[in-house]
Amino acid sequence: MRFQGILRVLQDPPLSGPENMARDAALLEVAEVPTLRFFLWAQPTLSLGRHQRVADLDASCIEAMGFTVVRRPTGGRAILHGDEVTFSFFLPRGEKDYSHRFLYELVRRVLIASFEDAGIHPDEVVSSRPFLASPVCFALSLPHEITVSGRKIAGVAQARGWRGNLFEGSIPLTLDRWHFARCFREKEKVYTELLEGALGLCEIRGDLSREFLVARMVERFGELFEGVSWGGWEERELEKAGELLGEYAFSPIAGEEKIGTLQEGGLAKSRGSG
Amino acid sequence: MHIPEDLLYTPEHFWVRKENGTALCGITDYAQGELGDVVFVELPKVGAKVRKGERIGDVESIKTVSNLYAPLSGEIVAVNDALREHPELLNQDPYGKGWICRIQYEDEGEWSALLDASAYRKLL
Repeated sequence: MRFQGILRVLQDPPLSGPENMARDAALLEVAEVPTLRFFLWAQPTLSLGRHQRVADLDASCIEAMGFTVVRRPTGGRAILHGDEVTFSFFLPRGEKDYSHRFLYELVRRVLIASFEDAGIHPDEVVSSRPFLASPVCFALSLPHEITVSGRKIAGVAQARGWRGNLFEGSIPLTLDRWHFARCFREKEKVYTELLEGALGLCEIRGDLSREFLVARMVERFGELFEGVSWGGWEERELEKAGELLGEYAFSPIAGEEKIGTLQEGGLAKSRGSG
Repeated sequence: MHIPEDLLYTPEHFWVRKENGTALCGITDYAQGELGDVVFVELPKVGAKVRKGERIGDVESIKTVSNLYAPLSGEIVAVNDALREHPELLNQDPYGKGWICRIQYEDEGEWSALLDASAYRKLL
């Protein structure tokens, strides 16, 4: 299938966790063109799903490691962002209102094609893993996800607004499982889940570079549109990101304190979905 | 897919029922089916003043957060607290026990922009 319009590609410099998430949220709120955004993290950052509960976190350990914690505008569970390709993809709502499951499958196919280009061959059938209680995104595999030898290689979550759909994705090149696990109270359990459930791409293909994978993704996402244009942010998008910044500042050290509006759900008895 | 004839609808898949000068609202059967299993509902605050089309909360299904938008302008006068503990009610009974909020609407004229069942059906 092919959507109308040109895909805008953005490449951001390293930014803080709140800045990165506020920019993604701004895409969902005010962007008018389909956008594929690649971004980096100024510090190691643990991102939580919009409604994920914080009770599983070891706040003092996170502080001691100097990690930033941020909420995502999308759903799902925790990801430690480090050596990875991080991207977001905004698709404006067109005349047809595609279901979120249809769009998930579309993004999944694009990513699989990109991985195939890089010589990585995902499983044809994804076996669900029984880590339903895990606070970690990469411990859980559902049928629409992407695995190699039964281990997850990409985490993707979605937010749906009236203007369109926003996807956020994390594709680890290497996984720092130990530091990731130390962010949680049940460290050994989470470490085992990550060991058994997740795989960094460089564990499959050691010479894979971030730049190569980004180039393949740009081409594959671009095939969904009439063309690709490397571009910049609109001023009003950055203004909106600035307005939203406060909503994404988050401190697990503050315990149950609510900062902005996004913590409310996460501090209630949420049931993060994956 | 159930689309009751006695309700009004928005293109964002909210249903609205006029009751004693207020508007009872929720998401449609179509919407809950598209979402899949709902695992969390963020409800609006009672007492909040909302504008038609403004985001008033969201629902999370499998790794997807979907925003909820006010179908009418007014004040939120009640929310369905049962959804905090039992978000699955949205899937099980979207027009009944899965209602989301009640709005004391302020502009009778906004009702004319809502869709009847036939017009909503054509959107799907």
